[in-house]
Amino acid sequence: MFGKRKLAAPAVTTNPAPAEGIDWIPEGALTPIHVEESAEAEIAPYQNTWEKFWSIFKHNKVALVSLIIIILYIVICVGAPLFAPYDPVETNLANGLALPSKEHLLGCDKLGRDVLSRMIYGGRISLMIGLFPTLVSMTLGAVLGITAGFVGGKVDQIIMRIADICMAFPSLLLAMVVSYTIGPGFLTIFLALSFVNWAGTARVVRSEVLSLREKEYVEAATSIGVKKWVIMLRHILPNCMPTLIVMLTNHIPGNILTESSLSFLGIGAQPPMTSWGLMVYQTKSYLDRNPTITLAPGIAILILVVAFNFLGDAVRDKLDPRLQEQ
Amino acid sequence: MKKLLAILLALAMVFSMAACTSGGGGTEPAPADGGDEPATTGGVVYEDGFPENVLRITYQAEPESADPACTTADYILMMNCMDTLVRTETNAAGENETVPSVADSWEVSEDGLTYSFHLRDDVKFHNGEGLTSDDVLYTVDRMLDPDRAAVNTSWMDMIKGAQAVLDGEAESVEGVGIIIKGDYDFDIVLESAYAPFLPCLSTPAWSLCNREAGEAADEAGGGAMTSLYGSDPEYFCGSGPFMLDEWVLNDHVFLKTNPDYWRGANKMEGILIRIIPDPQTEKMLFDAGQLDIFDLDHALDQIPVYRDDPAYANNLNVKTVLGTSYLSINSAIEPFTDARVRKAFQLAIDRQTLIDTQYYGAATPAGTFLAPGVPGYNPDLGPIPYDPEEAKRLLAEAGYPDGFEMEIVQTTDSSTSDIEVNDAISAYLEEVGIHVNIKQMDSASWYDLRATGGSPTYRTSWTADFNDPDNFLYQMYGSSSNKRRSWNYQNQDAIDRLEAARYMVDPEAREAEYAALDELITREDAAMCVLWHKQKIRVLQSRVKGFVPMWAGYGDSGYYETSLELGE
Amino acid sequence: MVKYIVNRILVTIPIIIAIILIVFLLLQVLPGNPIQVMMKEKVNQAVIDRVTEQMGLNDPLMVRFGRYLWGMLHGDLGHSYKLKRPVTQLIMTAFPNTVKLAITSALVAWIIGIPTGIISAIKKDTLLDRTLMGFSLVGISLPVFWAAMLLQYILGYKLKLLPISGYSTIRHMIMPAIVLGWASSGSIARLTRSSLLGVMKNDYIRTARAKGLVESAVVLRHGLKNSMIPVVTMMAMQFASLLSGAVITESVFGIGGIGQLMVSAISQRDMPLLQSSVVFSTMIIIIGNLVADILYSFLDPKIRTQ
Repeated sequence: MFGKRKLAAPAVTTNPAPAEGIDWIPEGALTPIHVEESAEAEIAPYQNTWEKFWSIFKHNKVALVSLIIIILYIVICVGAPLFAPYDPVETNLANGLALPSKEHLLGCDKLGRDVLSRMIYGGRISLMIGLFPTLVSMTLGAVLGITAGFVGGKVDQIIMRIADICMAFPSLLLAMVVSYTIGPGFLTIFLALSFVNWAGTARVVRSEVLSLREKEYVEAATSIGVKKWVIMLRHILPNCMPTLIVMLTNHIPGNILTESSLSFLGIGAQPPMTSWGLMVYQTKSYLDRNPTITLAPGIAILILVVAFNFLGDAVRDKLDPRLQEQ
Repeated sequence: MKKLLAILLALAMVFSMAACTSGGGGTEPAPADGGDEPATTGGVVYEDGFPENVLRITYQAEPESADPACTTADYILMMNCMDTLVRTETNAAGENETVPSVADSWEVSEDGLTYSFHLRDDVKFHNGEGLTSDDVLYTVDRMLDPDRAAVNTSWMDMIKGAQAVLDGEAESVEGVGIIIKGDYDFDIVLESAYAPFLPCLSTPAWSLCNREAGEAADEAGGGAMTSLYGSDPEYFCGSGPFMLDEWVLNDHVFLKTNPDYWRGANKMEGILIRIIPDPQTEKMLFDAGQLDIFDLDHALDQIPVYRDDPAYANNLNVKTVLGTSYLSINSAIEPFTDARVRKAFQLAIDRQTLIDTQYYGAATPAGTFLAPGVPGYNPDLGPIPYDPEEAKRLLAEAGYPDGFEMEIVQTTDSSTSDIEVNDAISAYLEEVGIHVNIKQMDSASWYDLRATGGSPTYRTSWTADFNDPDNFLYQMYGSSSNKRRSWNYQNQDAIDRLEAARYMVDPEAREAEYAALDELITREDAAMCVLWHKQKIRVLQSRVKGFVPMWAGYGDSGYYETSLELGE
Repeated sequence: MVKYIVNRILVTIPIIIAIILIVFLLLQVLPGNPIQVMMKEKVNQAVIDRVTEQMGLNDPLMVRFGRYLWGMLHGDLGHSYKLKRPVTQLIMTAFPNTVKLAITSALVAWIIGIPTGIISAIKKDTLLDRTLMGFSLVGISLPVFWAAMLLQYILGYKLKLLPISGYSTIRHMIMPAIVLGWASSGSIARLTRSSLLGVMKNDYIRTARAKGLVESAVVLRHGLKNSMIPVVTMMAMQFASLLSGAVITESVFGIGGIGQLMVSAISQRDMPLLQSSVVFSTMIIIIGNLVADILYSFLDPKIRTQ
């Protein structure tokens, strides 16, 4: 990874240090993205990205288990009506705070709503927040990062300064401002998270592009007069994909955790629907009387995020472009 | 390697310097008075560093101010450190009456316009000055001073000449609204015969300030609006049983006992108010003996825990709140324009079950807006029944056999139990066909929306500021509040009668009029969906003796009567 | 080198100015009148209108922004609407608490993170390595408030080992520091490990090995120095982000720091306090990034020589 800095450095006179490899995203809670170099990573240079992707799981059992867990989560949450034993919003005051039993595996909340069912439905929100804002911010970050890196000059300066500002702004506060202005809801969380995360992606992608720009095939394409946007689309973007995928697996768990923090501040999932973060927050006062209903959603978040992180590690070990330079 | 070490060392130095400055800046919460040795009692080691004979209570957020001009809600400091002319007390029969305080006696003129007060001559401010008529005048002028931008002026604007001061046309109400006849005698003249003026004088907004201290505080703060009176213990000055001694932001406020209090000094050394925003933390601190009083309104779900715990079951202090919880109804929003729909809405909610399951019985179902104990309350009306069949019938009659959709606003800072109650209410409404969409808003945005008259239904409660029906009904449906609270109540006749009743001089006729208005508005017109009158339950450590909750059941109380039973 | 640092600092200045402007404008779009919030259920229209006017909230945007900038240049950040105190005083009271939390958490993070990373790298692909990395990964994955809540319940309430809330002594800071430190230590450990492994592939390491040195000696004597470059910069950035306020941890443990100050200011629409605390916390991050960048260039010979 140090070899590569040589390539990147000349083009980054004003902004050299936060180059590739290290997470420069300042939120303590978010998972950092950094290069993990694996000594035994020896990948055929022309291997297809997707082939590589599937080859991850051949030898890495942890990654496989993680993937299975994630798929299981997604299946259960998407198919919530099929799996949830009860209606998640149906109250039954007589069952208030019922302890776990055969009928209610994880017990009931104060209004007698089945906690397991609420968790299955609540997972939808947690997963959606994990996935969609990440995709949007990655796309935005990739587009702006490629533009900045490839076009360079003033455009680069402007985009990167805006990125600096976005990264420095306290993200939870931004979410609160958005939520208070347009009202809390899915859209709010979506906007707030997308807005914060694109900057980190743009930064990493930009430095990636800076090194790709020097590659022979790009230079060749430029010299024969291929249009800039065609080069970006045909040559630069595909080569950034591995980095983007690595970042994707890292941002998803980060966003799931952030959503739980937002719920803590009252601007996450909106009642009567719920999310795991909201469930933990709302049930914390029952820790003494009925600990399951507080512990279960927290553990659900933990397992999902751990699984995403393990998966992310495995993907990174295989796909990180820097490994190919060794 | 050396360079790396050097850098690490340098970093460490920077950090430790930061730590030192933070420690030496005087802003850091250092254990006060008690020094480093923690006090102990009955096995409890007080981690706050204060001595044993200190009452330990909590506040959920930093109290806004100790200055009556600066806060309309955080009255704890005023109630303990300042005095008012008169006091409201709950007597043995459970009635709330206005009793003398700093004002020893008074006479009211027949037209109800002039109040002549006679002050005690033994009341001393914390700075040693005696309390005189001039301080009362100062208290009023100070509040009305347009440079101060005070928020409690509505408690004084009925005084003659007050509006002129507010508008900057006059310097003082002296000689117009307040006529000083001697050091301890003065008259207050009203613009019109506002009937509940006397009980109104007992609100913390009327806490008496000292002229000399007040002027010094304004000067030190660089102006009336930035006065240090309510925030800096050095400049604060009241005449109450406790003195503002230490205020460590974000951590605690310490009130020291005033040894020269005119009613006799309290036996405790002081009151420690810790700022604890999280109720779960509060509970844990209470169980560890670090707190003396735990307000279970912060954590309703702990009620059964303490009620069933033999160690605490006898230490519960229950006070019925002089107030009413309600769901608002915006009569301008379809289909609530129809009284039958409003009535159906009232009938669809099973108040008793909600009280039993959500409040663990700590409330009584309400039938009218006036709470038991307020003049004009009519016990014969009884609570609003739970009658889903009748509700459905009324809805069908009004043209909504299949129900309709409505919104209930819930603020993002609502407690968990508030959210649960809203969900439970929604479930009841669903049963009669009314589908509720909970709309979450942050409170500031919602206040804005509500002030435009466009807020959908919301749930809140009203607690008396002073013991008079005017403080209930006029505050809701009076011409200045009707729209701002998003009622849009249409019965103009009732609104006019509310206005007139404020100035009725005959107390009996006035009480009858309010009883009639209460029934008309909350039952016949069904302009509001009253829910319940809550009880405030506090659990006390067994060492706490003599605690008297505030007469209206506020979270804030005066602790003058409280004492502590100490270990050997 | 000096030129680079000066250049870097100069670039930061327009960013800070932009942030002051953006924060000001952003907060203008927030609905809600601070006076109305202060009045709560006392909805007297006349009072709200009058106080709003008296406090100058009806002045045009540019006038208010000018007043804010003018005050700022004179070191006066205005008065908090809610707490009636100078904003400078409020920030300066809250900041030491945040500093305390940041220092203790950072220490926990470094003390756990760096050795974990080094051991993992030395014992690469052993059970120990996997366990340590798993531990780090769980740290990164923990929902902070959930962990905080459980720790508080178990260590503070049930086992009575540590104070439940407050921040006056070091003992009070242990739990919050563990919660925040664990999360940060995970990142540090993982970065230390990967960076060390990367360095270990260099020729001079092979030479050292060839000399017959024990593996751990090779790592500590030759590998560690270079591998710490990215780690140190990351530490600086993490520290800055901790200094800018950990909203959730602060509120669970009742630590009155910058994070709590911002959250309460925004819900109260306490604009002077909100503006200044946001700008303050943002500036800390920017300065942290700046320090990290300078450290990086200082430590990394490849950049220095340019």
